[in-house]
Amino acid sequence: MTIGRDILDRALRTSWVVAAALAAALAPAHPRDSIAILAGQLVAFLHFIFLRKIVKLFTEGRGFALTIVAKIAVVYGGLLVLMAWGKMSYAPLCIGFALPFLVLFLRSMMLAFGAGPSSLTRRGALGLGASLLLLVPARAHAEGAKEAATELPNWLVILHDFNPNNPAISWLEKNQIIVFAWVAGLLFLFLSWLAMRKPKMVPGHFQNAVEWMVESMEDVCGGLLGPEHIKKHFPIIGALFFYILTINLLGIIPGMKSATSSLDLTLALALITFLYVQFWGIRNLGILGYLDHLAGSPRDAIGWMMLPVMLPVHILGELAKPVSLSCRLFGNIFGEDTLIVVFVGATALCLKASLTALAVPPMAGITALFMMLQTLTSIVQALIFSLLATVYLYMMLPHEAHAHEEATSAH
Amino acid sequence: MNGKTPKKVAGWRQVGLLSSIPFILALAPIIGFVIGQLLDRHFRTRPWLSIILLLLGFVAGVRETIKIVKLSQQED
Repeated sequence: MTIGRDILDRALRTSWVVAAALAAALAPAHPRDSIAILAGQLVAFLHFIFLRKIVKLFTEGRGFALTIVAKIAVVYGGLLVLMAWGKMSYAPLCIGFALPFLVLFLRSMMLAFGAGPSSLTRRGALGLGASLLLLVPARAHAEGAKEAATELPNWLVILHDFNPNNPAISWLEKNQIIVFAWVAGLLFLFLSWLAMRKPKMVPGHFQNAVEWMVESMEDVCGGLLGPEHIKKHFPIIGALFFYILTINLLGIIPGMKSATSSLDLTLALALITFLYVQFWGIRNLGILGYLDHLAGSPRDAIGWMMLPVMLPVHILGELAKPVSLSCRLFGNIFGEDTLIVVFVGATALCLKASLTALAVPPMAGITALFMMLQTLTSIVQALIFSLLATVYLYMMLPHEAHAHEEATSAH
Repeated sequence: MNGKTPKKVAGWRQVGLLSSIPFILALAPIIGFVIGQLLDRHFRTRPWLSIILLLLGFVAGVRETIKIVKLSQQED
């Protein structure tokens, strides 16, 4: 069995375990939600089973069309019937549907970090089991509270609690994502100015550190784009990296908040990347060349007949890339914030119940560990966002190997 | 790719590219469905455009996945 197939099988098994555990935890209070989670999981499971069959038949060439028709009827028909039925709420259905994708994502990440597929089951099961154990009491606690907290209070929230009737503070509290995005932007500008206001031939520690970071990032992106393109595009790629890094790291400071834990900001950053990449696509290929690229470069009668299909497919593919960038950044940073809140909450609960021995060493230790992990993932997520933006730009720029690949796939 | 990419960076590029596959596979049909809903509401063609764009979104997701896998297999 190949590694890819092995990982898919294990991911599907793990997702069934997680779905069953979630459904069991929800069944007493919300039986319909637990059924919706299992239904979503079943549809996603069938999606992957059909996908594997289609890939296998694609190479063998027999029964390919029939399997596609069966997949459309079973998976998409089933999904539409479930949605049209109206007795299941969309949120648990979507959670159930997303579970195998989530497990597959975690497994691919762990594989990339060097863990073998056999150890993935244990680690994945442990991680997901721990998450489930945390989810059930957290949900029970959230039901008791008026509003579930998903992040630690920042200075704007505290200020608003002390001055609830002040309109200026209320406005700032309501628009806290914009405020913290501006704080991070100004901090980034201030640090850059501080490092380079009096550049010296023999740099000091701070100037040296900033120059090393900028040069390293330029080398990394230059390795992907090439020396002639990197000079032109590094200002935006470098700015994206250092801006996202500043925003992410700001969340570690007590009283501050990572603005990237909001989908609004990550979508805005992805929109900037999307518009920049499309702008350079139009500039390099020309309007007609760009439209030709979007239409899948039709050169014969079949190509022109496929135009109504290929054009929306290309457009949806181009749209999916930036949205996936923003969802990943948002999910990671929001997840980290929520995890820290859960552990801080658990520490507080233990202290309230006079369980100091349980609260301080293990709980506070785990919280500190997660905060250290947050520092690492803040850097990694900023790096991945800017590296993928570079890769998307690379795919749009004129390039010999790329042109050759396009020509080969066209034939 | 151009120039020489350090091994560690190539690893991070792989992580970024491969971990975006599940997102793209899941998001492309969702984007198609959402755009289809908007178009259906505008043209009063409910539910046909939603279904067509959902299917095309699935095709776009698979197509982008193949492109990403090809890109991740390119030598540095």
